[in-house]
Amino acid sequence: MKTARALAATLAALLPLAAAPAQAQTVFRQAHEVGFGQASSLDPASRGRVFQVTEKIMSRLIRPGLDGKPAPDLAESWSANADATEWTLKLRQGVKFHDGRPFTAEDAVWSLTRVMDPKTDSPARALLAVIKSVEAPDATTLKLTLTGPFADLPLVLTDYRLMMLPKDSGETIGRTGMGTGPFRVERFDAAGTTTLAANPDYFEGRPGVARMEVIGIPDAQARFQALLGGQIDMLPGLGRQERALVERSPRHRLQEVPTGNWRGIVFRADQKPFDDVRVRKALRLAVDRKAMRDLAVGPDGGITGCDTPISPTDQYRAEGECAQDIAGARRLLAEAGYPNGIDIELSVSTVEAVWPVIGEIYQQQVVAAGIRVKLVQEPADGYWNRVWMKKPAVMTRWNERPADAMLNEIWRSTSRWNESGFNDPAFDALLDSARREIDFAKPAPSTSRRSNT
Amino acid sequence: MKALLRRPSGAIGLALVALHVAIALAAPWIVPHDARAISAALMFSPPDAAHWLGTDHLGRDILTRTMLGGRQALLVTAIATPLAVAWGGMLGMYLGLAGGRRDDVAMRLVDALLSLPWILKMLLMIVTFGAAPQVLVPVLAFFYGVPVIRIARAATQGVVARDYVLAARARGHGRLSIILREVLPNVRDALMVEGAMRWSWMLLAFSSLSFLGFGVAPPTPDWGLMIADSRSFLAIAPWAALAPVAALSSLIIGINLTADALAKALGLDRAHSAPQ
Amino acid sequence: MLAYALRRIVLGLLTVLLVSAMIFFAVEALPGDACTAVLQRDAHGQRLENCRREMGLDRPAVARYLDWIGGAIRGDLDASAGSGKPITELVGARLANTLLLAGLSMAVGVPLALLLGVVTALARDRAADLALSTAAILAMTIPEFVTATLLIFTFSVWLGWVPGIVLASADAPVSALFPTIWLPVAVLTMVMTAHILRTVRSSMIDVMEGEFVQMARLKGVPAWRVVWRHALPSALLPAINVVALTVAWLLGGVVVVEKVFNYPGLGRFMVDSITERDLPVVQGLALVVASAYVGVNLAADLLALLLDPRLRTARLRA
Repeated sequence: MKTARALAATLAALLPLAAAPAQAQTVFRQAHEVGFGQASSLDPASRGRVFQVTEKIMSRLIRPGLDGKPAPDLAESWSANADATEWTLKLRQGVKFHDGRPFTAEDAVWSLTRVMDPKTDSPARALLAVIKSVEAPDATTLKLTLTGPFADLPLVLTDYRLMMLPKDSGETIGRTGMGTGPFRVERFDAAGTTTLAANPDYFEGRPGVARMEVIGIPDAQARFQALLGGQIDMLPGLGRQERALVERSPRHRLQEVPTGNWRGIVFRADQKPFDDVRVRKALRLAVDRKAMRDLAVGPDGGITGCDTPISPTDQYRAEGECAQDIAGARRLLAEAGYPNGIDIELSVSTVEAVWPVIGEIYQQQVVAAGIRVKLVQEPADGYWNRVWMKKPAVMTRWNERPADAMLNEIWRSTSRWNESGFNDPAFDALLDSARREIDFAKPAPSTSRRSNT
Repeated sequence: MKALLRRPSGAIGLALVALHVAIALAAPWIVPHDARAISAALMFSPPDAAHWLGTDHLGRDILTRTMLGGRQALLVTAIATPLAVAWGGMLGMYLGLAGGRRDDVAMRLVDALLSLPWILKMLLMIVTFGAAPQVLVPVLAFFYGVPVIRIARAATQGVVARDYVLAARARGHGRLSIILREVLPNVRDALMVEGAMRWSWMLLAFSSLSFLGFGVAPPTPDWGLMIADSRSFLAIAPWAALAPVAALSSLIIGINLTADALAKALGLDRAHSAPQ
Repeated sequence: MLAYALRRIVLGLLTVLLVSAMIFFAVEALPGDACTAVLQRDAHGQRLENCRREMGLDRPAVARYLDWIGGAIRGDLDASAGSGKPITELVGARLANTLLLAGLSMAVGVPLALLLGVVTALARDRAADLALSTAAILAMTIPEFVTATLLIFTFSVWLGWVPGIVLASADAPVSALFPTIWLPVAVLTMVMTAHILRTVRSSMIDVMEGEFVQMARLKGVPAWRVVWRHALPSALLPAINVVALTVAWLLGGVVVVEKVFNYPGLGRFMVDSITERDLPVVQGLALVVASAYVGVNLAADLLALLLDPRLRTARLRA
C-alpha cells in the first residue's frame, strides 16, 4: 500500500492565442469526482463532504504544515499539561466568518462537540474518541480534556473534516459552506460548477486568485480530457500513462508533491470468500507490487510497501516488503478449500483513471495463482455511496492522515469507514493502548487488505 | 453472387468481410505475441520490428490484440444475425399471410418494442443476466429480429395476393408449406439485405456496449474496449486507438458496402434507413 | 382521411399503453426492487419488509401498475429510489438538454442533408456524387464513439478551438451548455445527415426519372425550376419518415455521444439509472422516451398524409 507521491499537472502558461483578459486569468479551475453523488455536501463532517471545496472555504484549528507537522491555523499556539491529558489552545483574534460574524471559542466548542455527537454520525467521530470534554474558558481559549494521556492530539486536529463552523449552523452548513477560509461560496453545485470568490478579509490576507471553480466531473477520462483541452487548470493523481502525455505537452507542467495518499484493493473480511484469512493472504501473496507500481504510476510515481496505510514520512511507518509468492498463494487457496483456484469479482470505476489500470494489472498478475478476477465496471458518479463498503471487493483511495487517524479510521471495528469490515477486539485494544503511550510503538496489523500505489 | 462481385463496392465489401472472418478464425495461431502479457518497460512503444503496431498503455501488443479483438464481436453477431432474420422473418411471413386480429396484436407489440431505445433494452438484460456470449446471442437475436418482422411482413403482403399463393391455398397446403415453398423464395432477397444491415447494426451495438464498459470484460481483447482504453492518449500513442478504429470501421464498412451492392444487384432500394 | 388520422392516433396511444405495461412488468420481473437498491446489503428481514410496506411495494403488481400509469397521466412519475427526487423533475431537466442537442443537430443536419441530397442526385454517378455518397457511408457506419474521439482530439486538444467536454450539470441553465455543445452536435449531424441524404438522393433520382419531370423538361421549363418546384416536393415525402426516425433516435438518448462528451442528457441518465438499479427512474424514462418515439412517428405519418393526396386515398382504401 502506499504511495508516496501524487502528481499534479498544472497549466503553466497559456498559449498566446488563448491569452484571456486579466479577469479570466485570475480564475483557477479544478475538478472533483462527485464520488458521493446526490449526497454531496459542504458540511465538512458529513459523509458526502466535497473536500476540494471545504478545504478552500474553511479553516481548522491546526493544519498540517508542508513538512507534515502540525502548524497553526485558527489556533495560534497549543500546549499540554505534563501527562498530556489536558490541552489548551490559544485562538487567533479578529477572525471573521464570511458573513462578518467574529470567530470565537464558542464556535470551536460547538464545531468539535458536533463531530463527537453520535447523532451527527460523522465519519470523523472515531478520531475524537480520545476527547472527554471541550470547554471555552474565555473567548480566545479552548480547553480539551482527554480520556487519557495522548501526545499526538495536535495531529488529530489537523484532520480535514474538523473545520471550524459558526455555532448552531448544523442545519444550513451543508448548503452555505460558511467558514473562515480564503474563499467564500458563491454558488454550490456539486454536479456542475461550484464557484468561489476570494475572501478579502481572510486572516492571512487576500488570496492570489480572485475566483476558483470546482467542477464536478465523475469520469476520470473526461477530467483528463478537460485538462488537455484547457477546461481545468489542475489535475492531481496522474497515472503513468497520463503523466507520459502531460510531460510532452507544451501547455502543461508536471509537479511532484510527496504525499501519504494511497490506493488499494480492499476485500471485505466479513463476506465470503474473504472471511477466510487464508484466502485473504493468498490474494495478497499473489500480487507483484513493484511491477504494478511501475506500470500504474511509474517507477518514481510512488512506493510499495506491505499494506501499511501509514505515510512514508510518518515516524510510525513500519517498512516491509511483500514479495510475490505464487506457490504460497496456491497452497493457501488449496487449504482454504479452493484447490482449483477461485473466482472473484472486483469492482473498478473511473473515479480515478488509475483504478481500472490497477484492476487489469492485478487480474493479470494473480491469474497464475489460480485467482480469476472478473472486473466489474461501476459508474463513477456516487461510487463511494453505492459500491465502496458495499461490494465485496472494491478499489479504494485514502488521502494522507496521521498514523493514529489512519489506523483508527480504517481498522477500528466501530469506525464509520472501516472499509474492510475488519473486526478484531485485540486490535481495538491495541489502538486504545497505543493512544495512552506518548511514544507509541506501532502496532503491526494483520489484516485483510492488499493495496498499491 | 456474380452480380454482387461485378460491382466494385460489392467486391471490396465482400473482400473486407472475408478478410476479417479469415483473421478472426486464424488469429489464435498466427498472432505474434501473448495478448495479455503486460510490461511496464513497453508501455506505449511506437511501432517497431517486434511490435508492428506498437503497444498499449499496459505494454500489450496492439497487432495481437487487434487481430483477436473482433473474435467475440464476430462470433456473437454471426450467430445472432441468422437467428434474428430467421425468427423475425418466419413470424413476419406468418403475420403477412395470416392477417386479421393476430396480425394487429402482434404489430402493436412490435411497435411497442421498437419504441424503446436499444441501449435500454440491452442494458436491462445485461445488468440482469451478464454479458457472456451465451446471453448476448439470444438477446441480440431477439431484439434485432423485431424490425425484421416488419420487413418480412411487408414483403409477404406484396406476394400474398399473387396467383401462385392463392393457388397453393386452394390446393389446401398448410401455412408452413406455403411460407416455405411460395412466400420465402419471393421475400428471400429482402431478408438477405435486411440481414446484412442487421449484422452491421449489431456489430455497432456490440462494440458500443464494450466501449461503455458493459460488453466484453477485460482482459479479453475487444475493439470497443481497446478504443475506450486508448482514446485519451491519441496525442502520444495514436497507434493504440487507431488500429482498433481501423479494424472495426473497415469491418462495418465492408458489411455495408456488401449490403448496398446486394440491394442494388437485387433491385431493392435500401437507401431509407435511420440511425439506430 | 380524418378517420384514418383518428385511427392512427388511437393506435399510437394504444402502443404507448402497451409499452408502459411492457416496461413496468419487465422491470418488475427483474430481480430486486427499489428497496433492495436503497438498502443494498441490509436488504433482508424486517428492514426490507418495512421499506416495502412504506413504499407500497407489498401490494399486487397490477394495482401498482394502475397507480403508476394513473400518476404518469397526471405528470407524476413517483420519486427516484436513489435520490428521492421526483422523477418528473430529474427526467425533465435532462430531456430539456437532450431536446436542445437534438434541435441544434436537426437545425444544421436537415437543411444540409436536403441540399447535399439534391446535389448528389443531380450529379448522379459523377465525382461529386461518388465523393459525397462515400462520405455518407463512412459517416453512417463509423461508430459514433470513434468520430467523437477524433473530433475531440482534433478540435479541442490539438487545435484548441472549442472545449471538448461538457462541464454543465443536468439542471444547469441551457446557456451553460454553450459552447461545449458544438462538438456533440457535429457528431450527431454527421450521422443523421448521412442517413437523410441517402434517402433524399434516392427518391430524388426516382422523381427526376419519372414521367412528370421528364414532361416538364420537354416543355422547356428551366432546370432549377424543375428541381425546385416539381421534383423536390415529391422527393421530400419519403424523407419525412426517415427524419422522424432520426428525431426519435436523438430523443432516445444518444448514449455513446453523451458519454464521450460528458453531456448531461437522457442517454447517460438512462445508463446510470440502469446500472444503479434505480428501477422507478428506469420505468419513468422508458415511458417518456417511448412516448416521444410514438409521438414523432405519428406526427410524421400525419404530415405525410397531409402533404400527399395520393397517399390519402391509397391509405384510405387499404
